[in-house]
Formats: sequence, structure tokens, C-alpha cells
Amino acid sequence: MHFFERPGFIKALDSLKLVIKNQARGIRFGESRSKFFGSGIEVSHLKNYSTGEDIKFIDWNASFRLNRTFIKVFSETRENNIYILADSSNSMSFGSPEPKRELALKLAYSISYLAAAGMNKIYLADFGENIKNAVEINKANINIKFREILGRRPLEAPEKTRLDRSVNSFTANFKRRGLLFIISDFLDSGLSIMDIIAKTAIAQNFYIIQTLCEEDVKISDTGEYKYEDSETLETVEISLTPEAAAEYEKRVSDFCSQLMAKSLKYGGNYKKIMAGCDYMQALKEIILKTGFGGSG
Amino acid sequence: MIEFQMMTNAVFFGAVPALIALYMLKLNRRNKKVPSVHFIKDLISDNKGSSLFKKLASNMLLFLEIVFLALLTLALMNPGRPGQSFLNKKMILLIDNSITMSSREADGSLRLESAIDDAIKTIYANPNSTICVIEFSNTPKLLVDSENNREEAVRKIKGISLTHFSCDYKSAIALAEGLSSEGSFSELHIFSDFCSWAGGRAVLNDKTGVVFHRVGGLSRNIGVSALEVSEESEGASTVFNVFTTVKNYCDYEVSIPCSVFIDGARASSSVLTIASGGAESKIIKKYGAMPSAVSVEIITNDILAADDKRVWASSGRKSFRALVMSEKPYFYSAALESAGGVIVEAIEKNIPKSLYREREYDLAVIDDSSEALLLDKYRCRNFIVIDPPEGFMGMNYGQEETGVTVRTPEFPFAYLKLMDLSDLYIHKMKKASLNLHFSNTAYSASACPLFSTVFNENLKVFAVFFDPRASNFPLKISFPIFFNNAVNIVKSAMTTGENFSIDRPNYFNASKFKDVKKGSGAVIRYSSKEMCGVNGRFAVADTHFGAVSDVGASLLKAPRFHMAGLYRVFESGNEHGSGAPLFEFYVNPPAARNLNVRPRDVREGSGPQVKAGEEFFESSHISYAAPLILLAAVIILLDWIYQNYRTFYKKGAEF
Repeated sequence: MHFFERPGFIKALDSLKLVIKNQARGIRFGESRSKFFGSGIEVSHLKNYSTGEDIKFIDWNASFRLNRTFIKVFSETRENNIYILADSSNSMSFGSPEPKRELALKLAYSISYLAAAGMNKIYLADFGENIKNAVEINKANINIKFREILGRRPLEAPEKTRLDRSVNSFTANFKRRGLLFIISDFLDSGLSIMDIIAKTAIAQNFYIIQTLCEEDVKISDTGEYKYEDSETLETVEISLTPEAAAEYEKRVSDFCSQLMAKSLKYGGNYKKIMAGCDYMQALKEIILKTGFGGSG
Repeated sequence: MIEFQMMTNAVFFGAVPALIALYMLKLNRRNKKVPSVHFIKDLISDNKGSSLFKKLASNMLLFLEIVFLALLTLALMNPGRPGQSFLNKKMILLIDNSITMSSREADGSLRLESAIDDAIKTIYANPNSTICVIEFSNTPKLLVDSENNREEAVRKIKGISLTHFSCDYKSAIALAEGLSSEGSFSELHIFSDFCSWAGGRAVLNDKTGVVFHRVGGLSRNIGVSALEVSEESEGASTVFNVFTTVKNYCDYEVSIPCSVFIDGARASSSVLTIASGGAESKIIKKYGAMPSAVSVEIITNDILAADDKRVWASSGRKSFRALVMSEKPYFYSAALESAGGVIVEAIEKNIPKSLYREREYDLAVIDDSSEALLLDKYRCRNFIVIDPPEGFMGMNYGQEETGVTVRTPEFPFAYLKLMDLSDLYIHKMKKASLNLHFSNTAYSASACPLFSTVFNENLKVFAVFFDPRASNFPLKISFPIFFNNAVNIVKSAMTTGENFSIDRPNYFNASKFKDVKKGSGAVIRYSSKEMCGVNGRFAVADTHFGAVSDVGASLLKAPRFHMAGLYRVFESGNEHGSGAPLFEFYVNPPAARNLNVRPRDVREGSGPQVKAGEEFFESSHISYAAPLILLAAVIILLDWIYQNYRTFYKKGAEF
């Protein structure tokens, strides 16, 4: 049974609503506000009535009050583009009680579900060395697509995460501006992620979601270890002391802080989620914290 | 120079492999798969170092522990500088210049020179000491008394020369102890080869410190114990007898080449086989002027000239039996035995001589006037007759000749080949008149027959018409050559008369192949199909010798033979049949042989006599053990710090 098939999961999602703040750039009608004027529900502003205009849009209240005839101009609501990039590299297979990969997909599902409810265009892609399996998600096919994704076997050959290449490739193919969610542990990127964030900010509005697990932030206190990288199979031999372990934790923490600072600096958002945390709370924070949405 | 007092503790170096093995076991690290090693790699601060440095750093603990172990082991070996001291003490140097110090080591160094060098080094190693120098052989002589001027002392030490006397340690040490005055800190340094050191510690006064500086290798604890030159009148001429005695101080028998040099030229060279504790003397006569320089050298790597030139053959029998019919058989027996494969039997006084005549021998050496006339009664048919009496083979003696010298240094005869008789001088001999029985005669300058042969169908006699012991005939060199040539001729006559050399081009006379059909080949087979070699038993392949010629052709070049022994030549096609071989021949062993001198270290000896072994030696020793232990402690502290406080990373690094 997949996570979205569990009782209560969808119900919990239904209690949330994703309202996207940025102006929609889609072509089709949707729920998101856009810069276009035309048929819609929300009144954008009033203008003087000109002959020939449909009298059903006259704002009578304003006209009587000001003794002039005003006509209501509506802002058009259109669909918004939601892009979700979920890391599917080997490093995401770590974590308990659920692996980071499942956490990332759960987030992707939740965002897609909420976005689909708002009649948005959703593209989901997973990446490792490059973009793989970009699919369009809508309300009708969301479960089918996620079943396919979850049904895929994990990679046998080691593959190094290339976030820069994946993001560049994605933004080259999906040029329509929208909101990009990048869900990854970002551990292999190191300092280079900062440049990617800056570049992404030009092309898209973005949201960095960092999924981490216990193994990512802590290493054993003492002993002789031979660590093997899950992606590159590179090995590092080290004699660990408590001091070195503490330094490691500090470095990971610093890295996360800097990742958040950079994201905010370029107008994006950042959220760190640990595997095994209160998922719904974390999801709420994602959609609430930055004012993107609210409870339904 | 650093010396180690406890070399046996070097066994602790054996712990290094064990330490490495333990370390490797410790390095059996726990494998752990992690999402990413990005930050772990970043922790290691020497990430950008060279690969060699990285390897070293990653094994820093092992490195430090090996250094610690090595330092500790070195300290346990107690290294130090011998005799170096800045104390103000009275150093009494005793330098042995006895005859044994004239021995030359295998590297060419003279023992006395080495002793002088050591003494000079010791003087400079003790800059604040007062120097006394005593040279000693059979009597001690004070050269330097309480000298502070080192250059002056060194000059006098360099002036010490060899003597031909034996060594008396006791009197030298007594003199030295007399010099060591009360109240002053005295130290005796003895520079000697300690060949004749037999007193142990008994001769030493325990109140005085003694440092033994041994010169020369213990493996050659054999020395010339006497070398004297005496004048003697022989008729009108004067002869100088060079008398030398070589003593074996080892507790086992030693065979060693010994050469006597008179006026720079090698006058004698022989192998001396001396029993444990025994001595052997030899006299070399020098005619003419008094020799200005006489020396005796024992050179282990020397090859005896006689041995080098020896040839031999085999009759195919197991042994070659020789009889020495002489009242003084020593020289003859020794010369015959040097041929190898010869069983020598000397007569015994209580056995009638007639019994020896009846026995079967291959060769008899007759140094007996009466027996020389009874050759027909011998069953043996080959003889070497020394100084035969009148009537021997029908010859007569004429007038007496004195001062006989050789006429020519070149002797074309096989029984004299390789003998250098150019300096042969015979004081007195009778001139023999030879008849037709004699041939191959070597004459003196005054036409005295010196050597001759009687070869007929019944007899082979090699006759020497003078008494070698009344001449300067070099018994240890020329006798073996002469005897070996005679043995060789006798052996060859029993077989083919042909000898070849191993691993050299050889030539067959074409007449050998007279029975070989024209156009067919010959096969040379080693008589034994198997041969014992250094690597065990191995089969010997047949050699095909295709160059067969008509009778009368020139010499045919034969293959090189790589093994000594009997070979048989068969006509091609018949080599596996039962037919008789066409002829046989012998291949001689290599001409040059190294003498096998293998003395043991005297320390292994367990006799009651105390030898000059190292365990009796003591020396002032400025030990380096303490600083090494201190250094080891520092290293182990570093090791501990490294284990507990090392950091692999740069603190506060920015991303």
C-alpha cells in the first residue's frame, strides 16, 4: 500500500489548500490570479463607462455614490505552472522510519494534489545525474503516475547526483515561468548549490525543500571507519574522535543554514525536513510559512 | 664510530612485523555505507597534500609506534662511542708489533697499520688525556711518556715498525701498570691481534681499566710466531737460512697458504696444515747476499702455485696406490697426497721391506740406496728414485761436483713440466754417467744429470740424481709438481696417455681416429651416465663429434668438456652396442682451485685455555642509550597526543 492509499492521508490533504501568490502565467483558465484582465470573479478595478460596454458589469453602488457611471473590470484567473523536481539518487534511499526518497515523493504528491485542486499545471520530474521521467500531473492521473514512480526499482548502478545539470536541463525545457519545488538532500552539491539557486531564481520562483535523515547529520563518535559513498562508491577511511564527530555535525548544520540564507536572499523559500518528523505539520509549514497558502 | 654493546637485543626489531600486523588488524575498519562522503572528506584537513604525505599521515600512528620500538630497541642495544671521553686521565697505549702483526687481512690491510690507525683515533677521541705509548713484542719499550702533545705522540706511534719476535703481554702490561701512578685515573688500551693472548684477566690488575682494541679477523687466528735469518757456511759459500714458524692458535686444524718473501720476491709458497695449537716451521735457504727484507704472509685467498698447475688423470680404478720407501717419508707422502686420489703408504720400521716389494702399488718412491738396486724384485713397475746409488740401471758416478746450478730453466720433459727450477742450486753431488737406459735427461750447467727417466716395456723410473734436501729444491712446491707429473704419466700410461682440460678447447690427434670409417661420425660418451653436481644428480648427454678425418690429418678440435672424468669414443652407430670403444680419454679438473680454509671463531671453542674472545674484552663506552630512551618517550607521548587530540579538519571553514 502506497502512502497516498493509506486511510486519512488524502483526508488530511483535503484540509489544506494551496494558494499560489505569484501571478499565473498559464494559458488556460485556472484559479490563480494573473496579470490578464477579462472574465473572472475578482474585481480588479473600476473604469469610466464607455458606450457599448455590457451594462451588466456597471458598478451601480460606485456610480450612484460618485454620480458617474463606472464599470467593473475583472482580473482573469488562470492556471499556474508548478514544477516539482524530486531527487531519486541513491543517497535518498537512506532514512528511517521512511527513506528520504519516500518522504520526497510524499511531499511531491501532496504539493501536486493541492496544486491540482487549484487547477494548476503540474510537472513532476525526478533527477539523478540528469532529469528523468518528467510527467504532467493532474487531478485525474495523480495516483496512476505516483504508482508508476513508486513502482520503479531503485537504481542498481551508482549514480552521482548532478543538481546543476538537472536544474539547467529542466529550466531549458520548461521555460514558462512558474513555481519550482526542488526536493533533495543537497548533500553532494556542497557549495555549488548556491550558484544553482541564483540561476534558478532568474528562471523560476523556487522553493528548496531539503530532506535529511539521521545518517546525514550525524556520524559515529569514535572508531576506525571506512565510509562508502552510496552514489559514487568512493571510500574514505577515517579514525573518528568525538571532536571530529561534533565538527561534522556543525558543518552539516552550517551548510543547511547557508542554504536557507541563500534561498531567502534570492526570493525563494527553504524548508528542512527530517525523515520521521511530523509530516503534516511540515507540509503545513511549507504551504503556510511563506504565505503561499492556508488552511482550507 | 658507534658500537653496540648488546647486539643480541637487536632481536626486538623482530617485533616490527608483529606491530605492523597488529596495526593492520586494527585497521580492519568497519565499513559503513553513507548517503554522501562529501562532508567526511571535507573533514580531513590534509586533503590537498601529496599522496605520499597522505599515506604517511594516515599511518601516522603506526609510523610513530615503529619509531618508538626502533628507538627502544636501539637503546637496549646500548650504542655508544668507544673510548671517547673528555675526562682528564692517563691513557697508556700498548701497541703490539710482534710478528703476528705482520699478517695481512683479506682486504689487504696490515694488522700493525690497523693498530696504529686505531691508536691514533683513540688519542684524538680523548682530547684531555695524557698519553703514554708502549710498543711491545717479546719486550716492551716505552715510546711516549706522559705526553700532552698529540702530534708528537702520533708521530712516534707512526714510527712503530714490525719485529720478528713473539708477543709477551704480561711484561707489557706490567710496565704499563708501573706507569699508572697512584691518584691518577689510568686507562690501558691494548692494540693487538691477541693471537697469543692466553692469560685471560689473570694478567690484569683490576684496579686499572683496560680497553682491548682487537685488530684483525678472529677467523684467521693463525700467525707467524717466529721469523729468523741466520748465516751458515757451506764450504766456500755462505748461505742464509730463513727460518719461519707459523703457529695455529685456533682449537682446530687449519690449512692455510703461507708465502715467504725475500727481498720483495716470493721465495716460497705452500699450504700449511697445522693441528690445533701446533706450529710448523720451515727453512728456506738463500744463497748469495744477506737478504735485506724478509716477510711472511698468510693470505687466505692465495692460491698455491703448485695447486694451480696440477694435472691429474685417472686409471679408471678407484684409487691410485703409492708406496714411499724412505726412512723420512714426510715430504714424499705430502707431495703424493697433494695429487688427490692417491693412497699413500709409507714403510714401517718393524715390517720387512720384502713384504712391501710383494704388494701391489701403482707407484713406489724409493729413497733408499739398497732398495734402488732391487727394482726388479718389486711387483710395482713404476718408480721415483731419489739419489740412486752407483750401479742403478747400470750407471756409474764420476767426480764430485759442488755448486751445481741448472743449465737451462726450460725443461721440455713431461715429468718436469711446470716446474720452475731456474734458481736450483745444489751444494754437492756426484756426476752420474748415464747409459742408454736413460732418456729425457735434464742436465746441470756442468753437465751433471739432474733428472732422468728410464722408460721401457717393464719399467717406468723417474730418477733424481741429487739429494733435494741438500739443495734449495723447493720441497713444498716443486716436489708436488714433480710427483704429480710422475703420477699423471703413470696413470696416463695405464689408460690412453691423453689428457684434456675441462672447459678449454682441446685437440685430438687424428691418428686417434684411424679405426673410424671415413665419413662416419664419432660419439663421445661420458663413462658414467650420471654425474653428481651441486644441484643433485643429473644425466650426461652424449656428445656427437662429427669431424672425423683420415689418418695423417692435422689435430682435430674437440668439444669443450664441462666435467672431469673418463670419456669413451665410439664409432657412430655402435655407441649403444657392445663393441669396444675406439679409445678413451680423460678430462682433467679445472686448473685453479681455491683452497678451502674454514676456521671457526675461537669464541666457539670450549677448551680450558682462555682465548682472546670478545667476551673478555671491556671498553669504556659512552652510551647513547639514555637520550634514545628520552626520545622514545617523546615519541610515545606524541603518539598519545595524536591519538587523543588530533584534528583532521580546519576549524571554522566556510562553504
